[in-house]
Amino acid sequence: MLSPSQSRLAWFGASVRGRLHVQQSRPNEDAWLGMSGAFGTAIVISDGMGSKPNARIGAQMACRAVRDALKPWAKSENAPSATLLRLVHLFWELRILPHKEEDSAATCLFAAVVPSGELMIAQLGDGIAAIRHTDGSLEILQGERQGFTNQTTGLGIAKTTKNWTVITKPALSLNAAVLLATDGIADDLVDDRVGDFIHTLVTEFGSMPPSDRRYALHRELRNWATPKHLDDKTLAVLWHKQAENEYK
Amino acid sequence: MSKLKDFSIATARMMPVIILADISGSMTTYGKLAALNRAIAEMITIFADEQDAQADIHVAVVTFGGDGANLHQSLQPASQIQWTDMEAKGPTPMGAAFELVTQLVEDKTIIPSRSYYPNLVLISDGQPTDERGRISDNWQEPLQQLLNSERASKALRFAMGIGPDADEATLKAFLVGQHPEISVFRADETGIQKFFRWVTVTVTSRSRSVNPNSIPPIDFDNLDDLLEF
Repeated sequence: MLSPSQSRLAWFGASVRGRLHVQQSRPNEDAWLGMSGAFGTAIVISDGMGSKPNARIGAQMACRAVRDALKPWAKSENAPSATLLRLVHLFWELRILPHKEEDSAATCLFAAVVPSGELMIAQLGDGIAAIRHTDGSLEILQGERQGFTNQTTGLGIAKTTKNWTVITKPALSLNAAVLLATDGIADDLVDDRVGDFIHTLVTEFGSMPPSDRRYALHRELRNWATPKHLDDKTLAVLWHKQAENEYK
Repeated sequence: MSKLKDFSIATARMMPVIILADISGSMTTYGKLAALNRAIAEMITIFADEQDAQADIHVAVVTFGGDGANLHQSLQPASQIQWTDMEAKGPTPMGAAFELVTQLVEDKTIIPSRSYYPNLVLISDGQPTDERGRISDNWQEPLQQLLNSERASKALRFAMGIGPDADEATLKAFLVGQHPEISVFRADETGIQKFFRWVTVTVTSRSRSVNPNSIPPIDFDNLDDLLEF
């Protein structure tokens, strides 16, 4: 299978404050980032843990730490995924200084396609990371959570890379897509509609001009249909689109 | 028109309240069971009328009396419950109630993972027995299973001992390991209503909170200011 050229990889994301943070004039404590460069193409999302005083910065720095870590890691051939995760922890710990780790705890979910075409998806903490394959089948990194909502781990809590869930694939196939979403979305998704949710995001929103997409996605997330929804909501999608000349 | 509406769950997250109620024969004396029935019915009504909750409060009642434990009221939204009074019978098989509650809390088809931590409320007026009415410590193993289970161990637990015969050690064991520490509420039958108002205030405070999983119970001593039902 041919690896997708980086130019055929597309991504977008969106993040909105939840109702409680709006009511309390608190900021959005989620963050997301999409990026392309010599290290490949990647998306990352993070949910700062609500009870922590530096949660917002913790989440923003989680996104930047993934970018920091990918740059040196992608240069090394056959570097193990655990090395990348260790780098994420290291850069995050540096970036949150002078704040304490425990005050900045945040989940971290990312998906990266490196220059060789290999796909890596990693998850620390709650939320959802899922691939919708070309044939429409769905693969979710973590099964249903064992406990209850808002009971999770993250950067600043986990002391070992063994707390991460990681999968790698030889490539992100044509029309396959990866979804990352924080628990404000993930916990409210109908179990058997996650694949359709990803498909709708790619087909309905992926083709929009960026400014229209941002407006439309923010409106969707602010008007989320689940009653009494509270949490900040963040998602990011990465997919392998068909090249322009392949449509002809 | 929303393009994503069809993919999200149409119900709010649940906050379960599960009551473990002693309905042994001794509960008929001094009007204890009648007072308990009234207090639970009042609590359900308040939950049903709660407007500011960030979660849907669901209530279940597990009774223990006679030859075992029964699900007297299945877990349902408070607003949908038509309360039926409990009736007293036989001995105090508390261990069976712990087993039933553990099964209930661990069942993700009944309490989905998107729910907030449950609240467990134990009320008893006597010493635990086996199904034949003999004083027994057969409650200890089921209680340990409950306290050690993946999900039930996360619950916020309350306990009330009614009258002088309530077994303090059992009720204390039910509350062990919570931070902050929660004491056993001791009172006679006239205090049942106050206990349930305390539970009600704590649960509604949790349900209105930014983080419904992290609110400690309201202090008994501050209760009077909050009891404006």
